[in-house]
Amino acid sequence: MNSKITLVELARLMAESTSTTSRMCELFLRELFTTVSQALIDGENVKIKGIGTFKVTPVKPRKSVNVTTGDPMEIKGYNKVTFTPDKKLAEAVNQPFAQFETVFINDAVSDEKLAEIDARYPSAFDENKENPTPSAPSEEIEQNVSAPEPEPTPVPEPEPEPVVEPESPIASEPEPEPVTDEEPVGRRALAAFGVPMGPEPEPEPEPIKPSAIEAMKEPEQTPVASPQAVVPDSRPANEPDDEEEEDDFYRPAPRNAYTPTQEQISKYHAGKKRRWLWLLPALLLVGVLCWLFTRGGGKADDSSENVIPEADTVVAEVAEPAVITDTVTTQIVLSTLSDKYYGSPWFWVYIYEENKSFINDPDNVPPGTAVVIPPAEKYGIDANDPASLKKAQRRSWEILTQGKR
Amino acid sequence: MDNKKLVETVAANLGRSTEDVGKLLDSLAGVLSTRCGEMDTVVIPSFGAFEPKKRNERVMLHPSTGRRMLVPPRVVLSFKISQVLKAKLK
Repeated sequence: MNSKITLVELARLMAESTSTTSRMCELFLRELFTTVSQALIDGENVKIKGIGTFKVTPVKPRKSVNVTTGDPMEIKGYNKVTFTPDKKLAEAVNQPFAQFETVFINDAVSDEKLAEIDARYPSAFDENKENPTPSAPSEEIEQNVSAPEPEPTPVPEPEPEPVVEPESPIASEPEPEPVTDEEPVGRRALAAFGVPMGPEPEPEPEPIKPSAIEAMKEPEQTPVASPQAVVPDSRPANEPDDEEEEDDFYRPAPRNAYTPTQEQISKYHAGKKRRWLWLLPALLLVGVLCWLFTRGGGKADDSSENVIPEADTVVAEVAEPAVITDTVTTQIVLSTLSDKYYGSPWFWVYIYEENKSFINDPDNVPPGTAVVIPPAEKYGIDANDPASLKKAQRRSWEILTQGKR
Repeated sequence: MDNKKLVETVAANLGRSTEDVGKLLDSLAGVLSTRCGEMDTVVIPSFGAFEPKKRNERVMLHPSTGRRMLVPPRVVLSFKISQVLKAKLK
């Protein structure tokens, strides 16, 4: 590899492949190349079978300028030797790339895109680059949402989401965003959840303008990538620390289990893209239940907790005596937790109330913060009760506006 | 000077048969292709060097249709003439 082979070595190699001595081979090589040289000097082209053609081409004298003095000068003409390797030899040398062919580039591919690919090439296998496709939606997002993407807070997670990712402006993770936005970020977060506005938002018609909802329509598809990414750090503190995988199964399940009404669900998945996302937790739930049953004994509590929601009684979950805590991450915010535990993102206000002591800004809870999830009865939380929902919405409006005025 | 004439000339100068010289020439070609295929440079004193070089892939336009093509990377065998021979050629 990349070593230089001298004439002596070449002769030795030749001797190995023939029945002659290396001395003889060396003599032959010297004679051969002297002959070729002489022929070239005589102005002849030389063709050697299996090696290639040496061609002598005269180069005409041309005028130039002396670089130092600037005087015009003439470069003398000379004879140039060009070598064209024999086809067989060229193919043998090009062996490593033989399988490639020249291809036409599709007209749709712009030069910028090609440059981008070039730039990205070294990190092409980076796991974060898994979904580079949704570039078009992300642009829309940036236009619709007013400059939300810079996430100033350093994320103390092992795997922080890259800021540039199209997912980041998504409302599903509003906390790290600057509070300077014209609209309360939390509201956008809620809008992003596509939560029905309750029966009627008469007392506060502004909270979610149609435009705000529109703006959030596209971002909705984004959490697609989140469930897997989120799982590792979002493990509830009081959960028994089982094997990683079991926890993974356990986690997303309740989120689905407590989803209250079909109506909400259908609104929630305005985008077709999201549908599979909801299949996934359902499957996971089944897996968890199976696992819990096979495990029996120790996890009786949890299994009941999981089974009951199947019967659509949301309140049952809070009957658990132990204090439930959960951790906020970049992906999981108060409204996410609320959706998970109470069946509607609107009840984040009560989680906030419960943890007011250490949460300064509900829109900007530092990732990694462990919050206490209050029992549902404490605040009369019932996702199926329109009155309860409305109350929570009113409360959230109060909380979100009090800091801004 | 074609291959036949070259072989004859070399055979005459060495005092050997053209078959022998032909075989040696074949083995030279074989050694060149294997060694250069391994990215080794073969240097012949006062003649030149056979050096395999990697050419990167590139985008070029089709000469007649103007469509863009992606030309794959490849290894070419280049020949760099020695200064001695170059001087003699002038």
